[in-house]
Amino acid sequence: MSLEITIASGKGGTGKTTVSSFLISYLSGVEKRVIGVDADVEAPDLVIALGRHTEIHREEVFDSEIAVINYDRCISCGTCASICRYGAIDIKNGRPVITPELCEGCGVCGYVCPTKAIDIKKTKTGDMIIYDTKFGKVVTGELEIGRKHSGKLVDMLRMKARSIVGGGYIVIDAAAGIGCPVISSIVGVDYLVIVVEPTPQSMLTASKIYEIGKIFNVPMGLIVNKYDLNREFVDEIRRFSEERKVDFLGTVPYDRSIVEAYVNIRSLIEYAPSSSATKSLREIAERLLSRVKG
Amino acid sequence: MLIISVGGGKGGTGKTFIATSIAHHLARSGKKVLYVDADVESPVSHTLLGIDGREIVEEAKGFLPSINADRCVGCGICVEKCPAHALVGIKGTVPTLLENVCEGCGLCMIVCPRNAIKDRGRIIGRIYSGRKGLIDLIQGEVLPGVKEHINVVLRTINYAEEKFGEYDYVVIDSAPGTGAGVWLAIRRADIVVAVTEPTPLGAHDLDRFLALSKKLGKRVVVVINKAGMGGARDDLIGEVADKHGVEIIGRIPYSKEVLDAYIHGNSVTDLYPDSSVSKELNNFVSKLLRQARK
Repeated sequence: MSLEITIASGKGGTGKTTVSSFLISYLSGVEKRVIGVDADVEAPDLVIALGRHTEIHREEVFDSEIAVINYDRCISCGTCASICRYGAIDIKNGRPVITPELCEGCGVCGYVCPTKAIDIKKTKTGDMIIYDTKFGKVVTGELEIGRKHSGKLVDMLRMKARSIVGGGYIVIDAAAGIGCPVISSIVGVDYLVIVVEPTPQSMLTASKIYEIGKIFNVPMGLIVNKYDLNREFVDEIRRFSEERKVDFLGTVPYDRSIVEAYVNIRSLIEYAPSSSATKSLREIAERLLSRVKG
Repeated sequence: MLIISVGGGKGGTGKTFIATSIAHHLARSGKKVLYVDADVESPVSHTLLGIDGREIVEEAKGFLPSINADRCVGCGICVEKCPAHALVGIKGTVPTLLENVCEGCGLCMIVCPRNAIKDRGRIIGRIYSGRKGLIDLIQGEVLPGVKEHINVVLRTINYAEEKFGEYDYVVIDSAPGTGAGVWLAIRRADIVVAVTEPTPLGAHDLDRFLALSKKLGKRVVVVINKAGMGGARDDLIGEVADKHGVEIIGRIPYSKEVLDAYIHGNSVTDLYPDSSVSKELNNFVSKLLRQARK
């Protein structure tokens, strides 16, 4: 069994990918067996943060279902439009029309259609790609643009990662937000890392990630990234973690070398091994590891 | 009435910062603005618009089954049909509902041959309103642990749409990403603003966002935020913009003033009107409005 660690934040741009990529590079050095999962399938860029990477496998995932109306049979009664709970069927010029972007594929419309004019058809969810990086493999998803079923793709990526690594660690870089794909990134993992920046806006959404972690009973820890941009706020975050019994894993300073490493397509651990960010992240990784191993 | 949607792909590039700056600019010139916060997973625009008192104007309700144990014969049809696998149980017993897995489609209620399932309903999110001067806010928020965030985006935009006619401008602030929630936020736009940062990650996600906007046939302009941050690579953004045939109409410098205003919930153009960042912001918004009116 692999140990699965998810990195989430709520608000975007707090440093999830920085922490995830560092953790992967660190674990590949000390534990050898590690695989990354880029669960931000609407904006996947974990491999960029790991430096040079090569695509070694790509497959199309057809796990989405979408309702399709057969207008030869449709009598335009409107029953489907009135029962759809996702607003995916509108009546236009007297006929029901499906908006694929909003269709969940649940099949309710097909059940209620009196003339059986609606079929549920499999459609492409996105691509699943495996990359080779200097620090091991990364499973990435690319959701079809404008598609709804990001949670399903995340489930597939996690399954794939488990089948590849068979033990060791799985590091999951979640999407921004708290919605379906983020929930799919958190359910059943061994540990959840919440990355915050010292702003009220970041804490507002981080506290919702905490609530999701509670619902699914996942042990949690907190990292304050760019802490020195607003030092006064760090105490407040520390209090938050103490009151809720969330591990305070440490702080990371704002460090130009993080952006510079991205820009040069190098991993931080290689590009700036003795930078202040690398030092803090290494300490955090050690603390996290001892915590996860119990 | 003109609709401006703000997105960009990557999280934390400054979408809300840019969108609120546009709204402040318009309000200063005497325009009535409706600000629609469609980032229902981490709605923080009220903090940047200086709105303290928000009011709940609507609770978004979703379907949640309740099973009448007296009527249920444990036939297992609902368990078999539930597309989210939220109902579990063996034949002959009353199924157990996994509330956080349920996606609220209502299929179980329709397929139950014993009429044993009713909708007990649950709140999946809330819609807030607020006001600051000439800016009115409509803001959606999904509850933590609920998978139906796209549904909350839809309800929020539908609620706001009924009021569009009362305003000179509508500014829609989208979530990060390139999925259905973002599709909804830019679907009605007259012009789309793509906010990005000058890094390979920003460029990568911008590419997907521009593809989505173009798929919808939208006019798009790009603004580079945090220009000049450590080792900034404007050229990468330029390449992506050229590929999609869109213009970069603003470069907002990385500055302490922005962060300071952000943390304190102020508009940077009000707090530091003479700073270079405020000048660049004003230039950008003027250009945007000229383009939008074309």
